[in-house]
Amino acid sequence: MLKGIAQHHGGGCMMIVKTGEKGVEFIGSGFLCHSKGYIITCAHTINLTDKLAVIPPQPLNEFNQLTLERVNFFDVTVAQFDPESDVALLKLTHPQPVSVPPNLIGDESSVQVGASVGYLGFPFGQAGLHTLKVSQSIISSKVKSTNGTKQFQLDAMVHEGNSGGPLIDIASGQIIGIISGRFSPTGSGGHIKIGNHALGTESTISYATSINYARALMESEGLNV
Amino acid sequence: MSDLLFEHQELFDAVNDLVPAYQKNKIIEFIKLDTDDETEYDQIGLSLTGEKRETGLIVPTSAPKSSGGSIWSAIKAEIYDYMCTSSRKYSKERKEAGITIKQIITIIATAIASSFHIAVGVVTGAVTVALLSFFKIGKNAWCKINTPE
Repeated sequence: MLKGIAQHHGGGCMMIVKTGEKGVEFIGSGFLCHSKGYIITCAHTINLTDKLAVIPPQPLNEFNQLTLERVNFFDVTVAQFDPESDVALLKLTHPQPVSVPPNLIGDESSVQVGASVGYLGFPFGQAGLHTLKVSQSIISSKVKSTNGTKQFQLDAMVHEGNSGGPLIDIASGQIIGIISGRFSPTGSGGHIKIGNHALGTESTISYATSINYARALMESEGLNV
Repeated sequence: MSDLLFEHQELFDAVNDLVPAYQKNKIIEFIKLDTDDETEYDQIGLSLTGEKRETGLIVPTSAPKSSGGSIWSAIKAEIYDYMCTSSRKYSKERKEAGITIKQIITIIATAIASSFHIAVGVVTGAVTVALLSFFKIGKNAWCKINTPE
């Protein structure tokens, strides 16, 4: 079943990068959600002053380089942005013909605790790991964040770079969430760091924002979901 | 410019027409607070632009952020240019009789959107809040507080 998820959704997953004088800098993951060239990601990956672009994944079923030596990126603009719910909708500046599976976007109401899920993304893309990672987990709980945003709790350790990737219900094959964060037993501040890695923030409890917030952005953009 | 009158209903109408549905309630509730404390405007503005975020015990799993620019500062700088200077950029708009708050929000948001890589609707909420702070605090005080260093 996970193989089907990977084959079905792998091609639509993107690396989100910012571009500028310093070159291309990885900031997170995202996924195609509409044939008009729209991509969903997390709002927290984005600084609105940055020039953003996306990099498509390497061929899914081939042996790929860990680190891309050359990148072909496609410029995007921020079309909708909801930092409160931590969702953003990006649009390809020059949309290419893209194919998006029908009924791609699911609904939070159908998700039950204990359901098997898969999630895709580019963990440690900032450290030069540019290969798509397919992972699996279960919905371990349905929770609300401190500001009331509905989230799915996962029995998994999501890594830095995974944010913005799709959470997929294995039974239906639909995207039900957007990977957003990980529980940190030590909170979010005052860590000892090695390089850019904060110690004491690891746990096997992670979170994905409900896809319904992304639906709202797509509807606000006038897209049929 | 100083002839511009601030009316709550006009602002509510502008929010209903210009701000995306998912941000409307937050901004309308803030307008109803009727505060004249500049720091409160900054707090809500920074949250609307994603520059201030409460994460609690959840760490975001994006790549660690390198320091970057501030869209909230850019919005306030644009309003300063329009409202507090006689720059050529907005000379035509300033002379326009009967200009509405809704039109000013659109003008500022369009200027910001064209300077960065974002749609106009992405910043209309934050522009509304920044403009509200101008009217509530008053032109002289707002311009003095927001004079570029």
